[in-house]
Amino acid sequence: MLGSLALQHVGPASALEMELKPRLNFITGDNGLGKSFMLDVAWWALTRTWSGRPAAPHRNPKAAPRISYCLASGEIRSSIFTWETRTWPVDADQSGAPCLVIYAQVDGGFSVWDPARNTGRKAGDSGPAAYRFKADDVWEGLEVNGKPLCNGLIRDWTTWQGKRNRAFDQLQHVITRLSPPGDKALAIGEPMRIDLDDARDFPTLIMPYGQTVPVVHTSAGIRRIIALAYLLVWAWQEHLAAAELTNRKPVENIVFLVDEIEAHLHPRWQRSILRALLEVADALTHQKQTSVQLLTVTHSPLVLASAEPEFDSEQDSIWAFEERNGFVYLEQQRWRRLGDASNWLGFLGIEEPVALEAEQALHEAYAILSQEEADLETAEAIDRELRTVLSDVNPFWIRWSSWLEALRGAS
Amino acid sequence: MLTAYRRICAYLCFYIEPVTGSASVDHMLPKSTHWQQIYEWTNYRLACSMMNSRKNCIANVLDPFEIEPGWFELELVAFQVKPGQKTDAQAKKRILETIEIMGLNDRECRKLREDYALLYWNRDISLAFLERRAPFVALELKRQGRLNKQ
Repeated sequence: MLGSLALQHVGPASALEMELKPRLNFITGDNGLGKSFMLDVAWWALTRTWSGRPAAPHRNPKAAPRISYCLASGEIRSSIFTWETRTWPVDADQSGAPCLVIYAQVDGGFSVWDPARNTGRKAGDSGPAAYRFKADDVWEGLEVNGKPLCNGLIRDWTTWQGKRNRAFDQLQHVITRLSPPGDKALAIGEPMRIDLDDARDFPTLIMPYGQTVPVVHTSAGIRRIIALAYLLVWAWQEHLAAAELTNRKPVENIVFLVDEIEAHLHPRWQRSILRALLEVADALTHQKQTSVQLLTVTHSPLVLASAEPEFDSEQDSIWAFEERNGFVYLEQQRWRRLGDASNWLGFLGIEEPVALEAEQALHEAYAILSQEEADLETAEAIDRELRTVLSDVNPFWIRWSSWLEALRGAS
Repeated sequence: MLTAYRRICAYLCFYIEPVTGSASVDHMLPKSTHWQQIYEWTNYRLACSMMNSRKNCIANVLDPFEIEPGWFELELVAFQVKPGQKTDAQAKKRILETIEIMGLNDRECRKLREDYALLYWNRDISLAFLERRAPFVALELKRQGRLNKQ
């Protein structure tokens, strides 16, 4: 579990601080302010590896770029950037976090850190310091040093299905949990050949409308969900095996770093993804004491609205990146129930959930309504404008038309 | 047709604001099955954009012209319409079906009724305006003794 992050002279601002809560942590904010960057730094703090390029500090010779963080143990650790080697040094005797970390990037790639397998490994050792999957690797498999690290979704799924083993049960369970409620859940179909020149049987899903579709042909949204489901099951299975080989107890914490949790998902799925992710870990580990910490970037008012019943300020937090006068700030936001997705749009900085033209016309209407004496000609012009952008049954008409009628009567 | 209906939507019973691309006349009988009657005046009902987008080719919806007084009532908490107390079982069934198919109690419709009633109670709009714009809401407020005191 990650407790806090503090950055100096690196990233979008000269100083950024973030205190994480043990369960849900949301990061919101406009594009380009550093949300994904925070996930990269969180990944580094937990695993001592970079999932992409190392964070590049500001070019200020007087500043000492520093990243500090604290894990669940409470001890604060720091790393000061070494300009000579352009690296962030870490003490050799300090290992990464004792939890399974899964980082879902927005391009479909994943990074996995397993303390039972990656601890103590450095570049040049027999194994990697963390596992990096490009989007295709999750499906086709990943080799490390000539050995298959992961057989990939296509092979593993059909193998597990043939054996009807525990991994398959878990996969089935996870896919059901990740399906949105209301509809028939996605179900696993029989594997099938789909390619003349590919000897593999491909896993299939039975869609809610009854047709059996090879998973590689499903929508981008469903593919991201099942890639996540598969990787979870794979990482957990491998972790259990490694824990046994190394005489260790399985971890009690799972940390998810998810960039744009709503990516490719229809709003119905956006509403259920959060709860599903929280439940999935319980389902996998069959231990209620296994805790899940989620740090996620979101732009989706629905994801935030769907968290309302769940959200508990003791366990959860919400953060916003904001730009003011040319400076970037990261601040914790006070949580309150906003009621619906429109209000969450307001939280994300969109005042009227309408087209820009309608917003413009409404603002002109608000302006004239707030004047002491309104000019009829201007009001009529605004009225004509409103008629080109609002619907015939918009509730705004009731007040507006009544007010305009009175104004016409008065002049 | 707009004048004959006084711009009131036959299904939702609200004034249809003249906006670009709004009020449309609607075929009560689906064009696909009753093509020879498509030019009959009596076969048209005026519908606002919201209702028109919902009523496509659904034969089970009540024809606004066959609805008798008292068939629909309005409850004034969540502003849902419901079958009137004196309707018989057969009419009740068709009323409930119509509410379901047309989505007469979804959020958008309830909000509109609520706004009319609140604005009237708050004296932001007059009873005359309410009667002209939302005749069903006005009727129900009157029937339930919820009109403002003079």
